[in-house]
Amino acid sequence: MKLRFYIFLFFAITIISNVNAQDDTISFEAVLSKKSLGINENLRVDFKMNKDGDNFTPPSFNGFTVVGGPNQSVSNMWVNGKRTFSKSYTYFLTPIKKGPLTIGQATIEIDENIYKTLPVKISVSESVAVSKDPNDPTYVVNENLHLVAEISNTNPYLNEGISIVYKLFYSPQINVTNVGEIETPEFENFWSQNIKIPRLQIERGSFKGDNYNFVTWKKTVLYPQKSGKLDILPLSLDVSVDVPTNRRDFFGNRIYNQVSKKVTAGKRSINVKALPVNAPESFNGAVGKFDIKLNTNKTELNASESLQATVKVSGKGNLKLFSPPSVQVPSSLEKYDPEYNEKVSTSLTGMKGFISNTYTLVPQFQGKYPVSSVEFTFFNPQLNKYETINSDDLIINVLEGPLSSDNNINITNTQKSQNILPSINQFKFIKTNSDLVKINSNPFIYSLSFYLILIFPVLAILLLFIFFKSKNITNSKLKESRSRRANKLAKKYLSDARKNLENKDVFYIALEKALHNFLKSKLFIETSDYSKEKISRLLYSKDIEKESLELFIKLIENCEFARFTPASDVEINNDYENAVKVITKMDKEI
Amino acid sequence: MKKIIILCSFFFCGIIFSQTENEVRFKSGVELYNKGDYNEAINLFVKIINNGEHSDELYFNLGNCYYKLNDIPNSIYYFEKALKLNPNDKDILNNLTYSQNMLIDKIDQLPSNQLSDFINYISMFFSIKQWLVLGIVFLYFFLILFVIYFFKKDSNAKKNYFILSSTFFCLTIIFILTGVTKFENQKSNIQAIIFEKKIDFRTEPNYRSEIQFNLHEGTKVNIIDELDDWVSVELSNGASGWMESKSIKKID
Repeated sequence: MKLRFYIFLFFAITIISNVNAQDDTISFEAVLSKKSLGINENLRVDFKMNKDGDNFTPPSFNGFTVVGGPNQSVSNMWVNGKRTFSKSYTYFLTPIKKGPLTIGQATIEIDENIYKTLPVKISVSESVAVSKDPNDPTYVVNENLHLVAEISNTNPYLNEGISIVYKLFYSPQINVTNVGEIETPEFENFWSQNIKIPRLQIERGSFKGDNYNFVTWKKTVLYPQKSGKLDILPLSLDVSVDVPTNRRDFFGNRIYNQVSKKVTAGKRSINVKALPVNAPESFNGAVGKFDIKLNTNKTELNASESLQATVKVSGKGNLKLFSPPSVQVPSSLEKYDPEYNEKVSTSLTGMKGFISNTYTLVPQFQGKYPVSSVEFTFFNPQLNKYETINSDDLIINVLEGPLSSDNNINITNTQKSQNILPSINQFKFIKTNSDLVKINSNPFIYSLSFYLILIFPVLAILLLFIFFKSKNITNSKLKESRSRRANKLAKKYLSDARKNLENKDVFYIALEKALHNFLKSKLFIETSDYSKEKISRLLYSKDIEKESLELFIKLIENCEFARFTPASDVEINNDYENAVKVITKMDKEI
Repeated sequence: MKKIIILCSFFFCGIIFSQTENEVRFKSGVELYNKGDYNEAINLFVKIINNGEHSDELYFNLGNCYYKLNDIPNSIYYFEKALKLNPNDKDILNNLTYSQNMLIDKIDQLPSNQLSDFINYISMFFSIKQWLVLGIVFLYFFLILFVIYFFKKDSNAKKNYFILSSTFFCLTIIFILTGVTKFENQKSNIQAIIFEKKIDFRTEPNYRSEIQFNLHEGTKVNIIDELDDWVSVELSNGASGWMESKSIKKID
């Protein structure tokens, strides 16, 4: 019994292992759609395996460009209890050059073994004329499937918006089942924005006179950023198409052939015109048609409150590609950095909406503040010229606050002392009265009258001095000569007196005359007014020693007395001596 | 002979009449201002100037009119002109501050030394003519005192008069010198107001040269030099450069 069981087990195992062994023949191969092809044809390569593996590495397709793939497909089938597994990687290739080409080895790791495909040789020949056979599905597809790029304007200005629309045309004969994008154009040197197509819609249109269905595949708005010839790289689509054949199925319906086709919208170039050179200064790159508005949320406020000023540029054009012009305000208004705001919608016709900058302004002092109008220049491509527009001027009235930083102190002072009206810092009313004077073009300074006024009095006074001086000189000369004569006379009479020492009367007369002439010469006393009192007063004022003064007076008295009284010789001699002494002494003193 | 007298009397009457006419204009200008008709008021005031007469009040009123019309450069121009005739008027200074608050440019003042500040402060007290008249009056005082000194016999009184007269002489010289230096300063220091919205400040007097920065209307500049249609100006912060002379108006 036991033995039988073992025999059964042995058979069973051998059968199973046999089955297993049969299943285990692993195949990994490259399958080509054709061995020879024209250079304008496509080649499909499938790397097929019958067991799942890892680390698939495709060969480097030297001499080919990969236009599609790798597409992976896996199929698992159970037929009569037999499992058939197949997995394939599919590539679509286009040859680059003619001649024999080789597709190299692809590798894969299955159950820790590495499998390789055999290299396959392919010959690429001259481009094959597309077969005109209407039954050939490739021909049918070529004739009935077109990808077209529609460009709104191939000769735009710099920064002028253009649109590019890719439309896939196909004739009603065929059915498009699947579309995939192989190559997406990159719009170099353009500012681009895709317009989203929410759902592909089949529309009816005509293409080269025939009725076609079309699908708008892609819509893009472009703003060229560089002038000159700019290329737009093509868009390539991989389209799966069902092509009807002449065969019909059991129920009489047409049988469709599925064909995959790569369609490309040819390379397009756009010639971008530069903007005219005579751009005004305020031009900042805006192209289109715009309007500008400047407004504030209030026009009257108190100092140190804030207000918002908004510059808004609205219209159509390259709104996102420039910033609104800045606002210029007096320096005594504090201006903060603006807040940017935009509401731009992009359609095929370009950008539309507005952009705005909102500034926060805080006035410091009272007064009026002009927010000068904002100048904005844009290029209007329709009219081919620059247009400059201005916003309205705005005036902000600051009602209360200090007038300037200096007066700040003033205000606080007055507020401290008393609550007087803050009228000190009002804008003053005009003056109602005026003393109008001639506008003299010649200034007073350096004028003739200036010099005259300056010099005349000086001259006058100088003349006066000269006049006085000369008068003085003549006066003093007269005096001097007079005194000299008097002096001489005094000496003469004195010597006369000496001669007549014996003759008393003559002596005294001569002595008196001598004394009087001495006084005349020294004190400028006229002969008429002798009186003892006057002489004594005059002499007193001359600071003469009392002794000699008294002596002098005595002598004069003696002279007067001597006329009436007798005098001795001694007295006469004495008087003469005294007279000589007094005269010499007083001569020194005066 | 008769003819000449008649002619002369007509001429004289004419002078008197025109004087009163200007005063009437001034009065009606003030009335128009009060009614808010600033443009007409300006017309009348300008007519007075064209008639050959002016005053600091007239310029002040013009400045006020332009301020009301938001014409910044004109209002500053006339306020500055008024200040030139009457440098210490509180009202003019007050309203000028209002106008200056509307300026776009803000130019800092260079720090100046205290001595020149002091001298400036002193010379601001009077106008040039006032300084000169003051000097001349003091000169007359000096001369009178000097004559008195000369004829005084009493030596004590003579001494006092000498001291007095010499101080007057010194003051005379100081006043006249102040007037003269002020005049020379003003002559070499011509100020102007920018009348263009935006003006380029260049390094050289031609269009090829580099633009240093921009200035805006109403800013006051000092003219240093002139060449063809260009003027070299200096700002109060010490920056200097060239600008077109057509865009500024001198305050003279």
